[in-house]
Amino acid sequence: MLRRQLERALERAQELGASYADIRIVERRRSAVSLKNGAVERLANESERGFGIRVLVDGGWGYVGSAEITAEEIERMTERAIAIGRASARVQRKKVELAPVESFEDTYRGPLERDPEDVPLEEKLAFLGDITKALRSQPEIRVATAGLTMLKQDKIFASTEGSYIEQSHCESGAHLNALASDGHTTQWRSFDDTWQAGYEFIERLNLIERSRALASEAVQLLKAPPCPVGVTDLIMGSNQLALQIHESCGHPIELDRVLGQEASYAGTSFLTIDKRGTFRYGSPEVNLVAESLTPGGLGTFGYDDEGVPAQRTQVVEKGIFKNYLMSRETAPLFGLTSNGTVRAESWMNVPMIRMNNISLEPGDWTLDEIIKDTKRGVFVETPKSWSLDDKRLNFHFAQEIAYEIVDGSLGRMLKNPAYHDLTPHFWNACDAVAGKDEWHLWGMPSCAKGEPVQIAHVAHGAAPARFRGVKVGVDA
Amino acid sequence: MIGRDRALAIAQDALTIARQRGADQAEAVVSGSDFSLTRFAESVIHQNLSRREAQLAVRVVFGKRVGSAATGALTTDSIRRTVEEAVQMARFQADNPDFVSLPGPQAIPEVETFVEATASYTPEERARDVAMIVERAAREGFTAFGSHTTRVDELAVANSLGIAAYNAATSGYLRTVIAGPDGTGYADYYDRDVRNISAGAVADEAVERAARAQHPTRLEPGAYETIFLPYAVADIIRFPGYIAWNAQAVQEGRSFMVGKFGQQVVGANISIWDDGLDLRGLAMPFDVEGVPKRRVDIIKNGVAMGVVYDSYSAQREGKTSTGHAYANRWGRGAAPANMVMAGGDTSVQEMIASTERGLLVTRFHYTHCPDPLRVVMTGTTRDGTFLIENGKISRPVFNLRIEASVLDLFSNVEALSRETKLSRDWWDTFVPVVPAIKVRNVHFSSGTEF
Repeated sequence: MLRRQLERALERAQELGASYADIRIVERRRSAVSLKNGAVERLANESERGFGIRVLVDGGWGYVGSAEITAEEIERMTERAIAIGRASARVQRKKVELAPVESFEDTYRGPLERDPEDVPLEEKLAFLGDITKALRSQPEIRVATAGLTMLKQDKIFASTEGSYIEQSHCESGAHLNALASDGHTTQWRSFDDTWQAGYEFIERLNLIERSRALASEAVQLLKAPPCPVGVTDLIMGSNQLALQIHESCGHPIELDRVLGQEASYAGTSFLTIDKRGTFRYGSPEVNLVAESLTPGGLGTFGYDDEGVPAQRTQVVEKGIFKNYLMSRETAPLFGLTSNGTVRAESWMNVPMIRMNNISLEPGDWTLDEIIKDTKRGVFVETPKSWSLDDKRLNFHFAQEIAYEIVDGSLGRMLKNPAYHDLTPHFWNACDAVAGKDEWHLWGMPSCAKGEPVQIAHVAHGAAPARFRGVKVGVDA
Repeated sequence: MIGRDRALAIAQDALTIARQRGADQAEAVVSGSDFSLTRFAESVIHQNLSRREAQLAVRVVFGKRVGSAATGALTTDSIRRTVEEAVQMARFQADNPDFVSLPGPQAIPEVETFVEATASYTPEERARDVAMIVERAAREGFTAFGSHTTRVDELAVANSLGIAAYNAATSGYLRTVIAGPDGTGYADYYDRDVRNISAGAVADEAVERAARAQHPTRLEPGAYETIFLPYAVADIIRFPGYIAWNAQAVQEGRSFMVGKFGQQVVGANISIWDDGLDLRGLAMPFDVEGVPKRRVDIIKNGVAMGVVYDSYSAQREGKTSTGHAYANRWGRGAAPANMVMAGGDTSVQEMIASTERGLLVTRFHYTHCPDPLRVVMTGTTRDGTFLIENGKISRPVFNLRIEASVLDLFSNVEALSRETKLSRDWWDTFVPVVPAIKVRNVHFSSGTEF
């Protein structure tokens, strides 16, 4: 019945002149439960369901989304999408053409062992109660927050090219924050991670043990000396490096950005099309991949929102920039087909190029070996703030915590660390990457892009790494 | 659109079900959005969308336990299921000793926020406006990028204590980046009435700025006397706005305002308040709890005066809400959504003329706050950064990274423009009404290569 409705919408779009159309029905159920200082801060369920139809008519795009899934509304919205596409065609230089893709009839199910919807709320609250108790294990902790999140999504994609794909997955996440105050100043430590998994992911995170450590570090930071301003060797923990990859690799390789489609909001990219295949992005230690295949990754799926199958793309190989994230619309620029990286946040959003799992491949060091090999430097971990210019060249990152490194050993804890550089200079200064035992795929359900802004759920794998001669410290 | 009668009827249905389920108090918020946006890049339209969404959010109260749930479907079944979920959520809670009550009803002021011309603006009309910008850019050999949004947002709030408030608000927002061969310029305009948005004027401003911005050269980072246009000031003010000027931040010791009320915290020429009824801004008569918006003086002549409250944070201090509750995908709380910064007695041209050597900054990109307690902001300039020498703009320069405490910036303001502008910050946190400002000794820590 539903399939027939979708096919009818696609037929209607073609009757009205669309050269291509696709339609998605998306249902999302989210829940969030969090405790602050032992009291419930948030306890909420949200659900949404709707459809979005995308048409290409006269070479211009039209998109309409609605939460009312009825035959009449789908027909009405299809007609509206056609009108919008025709308006787009009024300001065009050439018609949009799409790279070919096979048609698929398939199903994808994400990994799920213990369904979080089956976990009693009492159990979650009791667990969070224990966590916040651990977070408040130090008297200086003024605010202790712990939360669990869950997202379940079911999606159907159908296109005029004959694809009909059903996908569903579940995400589970945890966040912790311990804010310490001595009455004059504040410091905090936090932990965040989300995976495409069930509640089993939460159970394996050792959250109580982590909470005690975070509380202790937050309190110690109050008395720690500030990270000095200067140029030094920087060793980055995998959590901080995951964000560095996100901001200075993941975004600049989005081909729609490169082509100016985000110019007025999220910005463009220094990785202009002439750089593909030749530009030295980083040192030979730097190998970056984009893929949608790793179980558990927030960027993992069966097919993207253009019906292109999940795949793996080498982005940077031994420091040389090789490839972008591409859509069916943009890949023909290089005579290629899409590498399957188009997603929309929900039914109400236009599908666009988004990161999947963008990761730095592991090297052959250990973190211990890197530290022992460093005469003077700073080890930093956990993002606190991040800022990049609109071509993703100049960046500034601040972290929650740092340790000085003196003669191959970790020294004093340092507060308010930060570093800044230019992207290619920074990645070319990378001379050591830890191996797979210290590599972790971090879930990041918070990537903002597009107008109206869409939040994508992406992941980044990284192991600790060293960067020589980086400017550190907050210079304000 | 959902419409007043249907929105309030849905809310009342939810309250009835909550009462039947034994809730002591309940609140139902029905929101709807008819949103249309046309995006353009390289002088062609590349995205064009229209969407209609609605949500019912329910809070139920049992003693000092509060449960909430939300749905995107407004059917009878969905309303009942959502209230049931909220009831279940409340049952599992421990008592929250700080929770006192949902707010009671107060008179809601009349504010005109709906303009039919904006609500009925068509894709063809947006395309016509975009074409005007594209053509204006082409006359200079430039290309145009940007977006054109028209929307209707509805909000209905009802609670079991008698609140029943509804508002429909329209807005239009046209923004463009104009790119030449080596430099970009920016302009935008925001208004509840799309007829007040002149695509020609926006294009003229951005094209003129882009023409001046061609072929920038490197400028050493350092301290500069700097003129910030309102686009940039919106990004400066957003940091204290969301970090420091809400009651929760003060109560948790995260705000620089802690212990400073009544004291001089920035220059005496700085006055900032929040006023949801000021028609220069995106006026809104009440908040998401149905509490009327009150004007709140935040900084008056440089002195820390107050912060904004929702009902929960107000009751923790035995106060009443100022009508600043918000709820979005990031959570709930209070926020100064309608900030106004007082202007001064000069103009941007006069500021430039009185500057021996300094910078003119159009706007910022991707700003963030590495040190919230000191309200340190960092971010890079974009779309028109110029060196001023001997009272004139002498040349465009590469973009620079600012690293400065907003408190220091607001302590060193030499001049403010008479004219103020409704300006959205980069992240769309707030849309305040702000002047241009000229600031002494602004620290730029590094530069870009464009």
